[in-house]
Amino acid sequence: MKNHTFRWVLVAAAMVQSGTALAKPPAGGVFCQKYPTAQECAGRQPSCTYCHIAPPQRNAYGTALSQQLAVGMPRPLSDADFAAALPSALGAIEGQDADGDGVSNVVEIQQGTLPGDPNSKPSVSACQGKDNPQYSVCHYDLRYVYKKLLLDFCGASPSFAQVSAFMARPSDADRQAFIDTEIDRCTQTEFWRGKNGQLWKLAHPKVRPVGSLKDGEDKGGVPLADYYDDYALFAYTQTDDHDAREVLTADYFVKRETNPTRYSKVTSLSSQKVDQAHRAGNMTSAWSLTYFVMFTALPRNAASQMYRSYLGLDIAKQEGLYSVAGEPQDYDAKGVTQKECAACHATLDPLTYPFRNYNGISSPRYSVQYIPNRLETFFRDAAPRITQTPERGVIFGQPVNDLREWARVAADSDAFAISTTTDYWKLLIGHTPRPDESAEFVATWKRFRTSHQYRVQKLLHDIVKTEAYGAP
Amino acid sequence: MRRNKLLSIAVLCLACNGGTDVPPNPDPVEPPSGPVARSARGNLRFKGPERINADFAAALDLRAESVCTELGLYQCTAMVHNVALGGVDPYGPGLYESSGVTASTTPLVIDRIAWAACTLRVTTDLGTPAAAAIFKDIPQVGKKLANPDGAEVRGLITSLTQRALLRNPYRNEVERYIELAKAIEATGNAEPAKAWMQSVCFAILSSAESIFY
Repeated sequence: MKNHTFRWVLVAAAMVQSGTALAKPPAGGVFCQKYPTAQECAGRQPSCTYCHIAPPQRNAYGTALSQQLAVGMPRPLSDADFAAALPSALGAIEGQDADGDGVSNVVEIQQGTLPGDPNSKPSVSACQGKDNPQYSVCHYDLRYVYKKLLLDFCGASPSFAQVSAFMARPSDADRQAFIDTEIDRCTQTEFWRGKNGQLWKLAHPKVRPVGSLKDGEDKGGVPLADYYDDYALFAYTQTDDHDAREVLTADYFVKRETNPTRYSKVTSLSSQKVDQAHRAGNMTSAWSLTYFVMFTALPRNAASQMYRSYLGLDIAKQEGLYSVAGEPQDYDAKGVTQKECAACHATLDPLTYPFRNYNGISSPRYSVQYIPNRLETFFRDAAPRITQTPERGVIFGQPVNDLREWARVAADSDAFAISTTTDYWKLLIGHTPRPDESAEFVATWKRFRTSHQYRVQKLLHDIVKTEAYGAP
Repeated sequence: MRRNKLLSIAVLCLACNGGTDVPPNPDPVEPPSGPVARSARGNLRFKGPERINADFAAALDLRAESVCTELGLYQCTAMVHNVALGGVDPYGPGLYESSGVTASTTPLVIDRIAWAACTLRVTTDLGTPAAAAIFKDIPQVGKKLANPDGAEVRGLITSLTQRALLRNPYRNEVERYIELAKAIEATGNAEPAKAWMQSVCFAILSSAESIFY
């Protein structure tokens, strides 16, 4: 008992000593007002880890910033005082090199590296003037691209004869046109769109399958739901001339046929139970409700998983925090109003409310479907205020009436376009965009969102045309 | 005129060879005389299980499922060594994404697969010379290469390099592999020709150039 008390005294003392004890949710927005052209602000905001190791612990940049922030004002600062003081503090340390990597803070901010991490700094590598008999180093190299794209999209290298024939084509324009044709051919292959192909690999962390719980084909020991439906919808939305956003917004299902693999739209599947009026793509699939809602009254796990996997925002890493005033309300009495929890739950809980009527695992009659007054029917005794939980929620600061509106806002957001582009960038280039690739990356996701109208097939052609992909 | 006709026929015959066959044996290429220009991006990628299996199968004209199996039953790349090669295993242990880095056992697995594939191809070709796909028409005296420095041996080196690395061999590579034949004979190996074929094949398939892209 004494040890326990002592530990809490230590924790409290540490928080008082740290001044502004926790990361401030407004920080990202203010930062981007100050540096609108910073790469961290291209359709997103920097996460808390830009300044913090883990709040309240600061990294080198956060420490330098805190020393200039509202000097003399009593701590803790209110959000308003913090937001008012931050721009001048940011300006005051622009010329400094907080992490000691030889590059000033402001240069790192503009070039997309981390001013608080000495291992993150702008690349200084440059093209060297020597010859290379195999590659056109530092330039877009069509021979290199041809070999690479067949590996990436078809799963195998071309033959020597094919490479020779490619190089014998009359012009670079002709070779480029052939490359476009090959992308379209290879994206029809089983390697790309078939079961366990490249698209399925992209979907694994989103679907998070569990073999023992699989129903239908490849049934597991405790069959609860068929997640191959989720893969089918995902693959359908990523292929041909389909809108990628429908992975979140579809009010239809997708049937998969094999030999060769084909995906087609259907209005019903025996494995899916949510009625058409309440469907929101893979967010409301039988598997998502089984695995991410499970037995929970307020399935924060479902909301955070969708936020992470389709929008690229991991609340556990303090990404995508858009605090809602007056939140969290803690309707299910989980203690999330504590200061340490509230910083994230002020965003997460309003994201979760639209899931209130989506049932997870229960008796077969009620499992994995939309049930009006679900909390009143099944969870009345879970917490004193549980039935006050609204269906209305908030995403990106925008109020939404239900999960379908949530899905619409999410699917139309910059975050969705960035996340989708990042998925394919990682798949084809092998890493998240580096600072020196940032300009091409930003142009690519913006085209995906605007002129390409969320068609992944067009996005793939764009990525292959980048220097990041094609310059060895 | 007659010469042109012959040339046309030769070109037509080449076209008949299909996608995986290789053109006739050219002279080896001179290697770069000094350091080559380095990549500024340095974005070399490991092929991973499916691509390695497919490329080894194509290079050696093997069925994809026969490239390498453990106990003759379980495919090396698709099953037994999948994760060591950067694959995923989502349905059982919940490995949804590749680690993104090669593991300490990855080189061992690459060697295992390359050796298995090369052994299968060499054994099959030597066992049924009439149907041999790659290791064919190499004159032997007993179990030795009849002429390690001969055109047939050089042609085989060229063919393997083209099939696996999609380029012609450098002159120094050819000379090195010819030296290897002599070195193997000097060890007293009972089947030096076969051992050399396996070794050249293994050296090319397991090279960094073959398994990264």
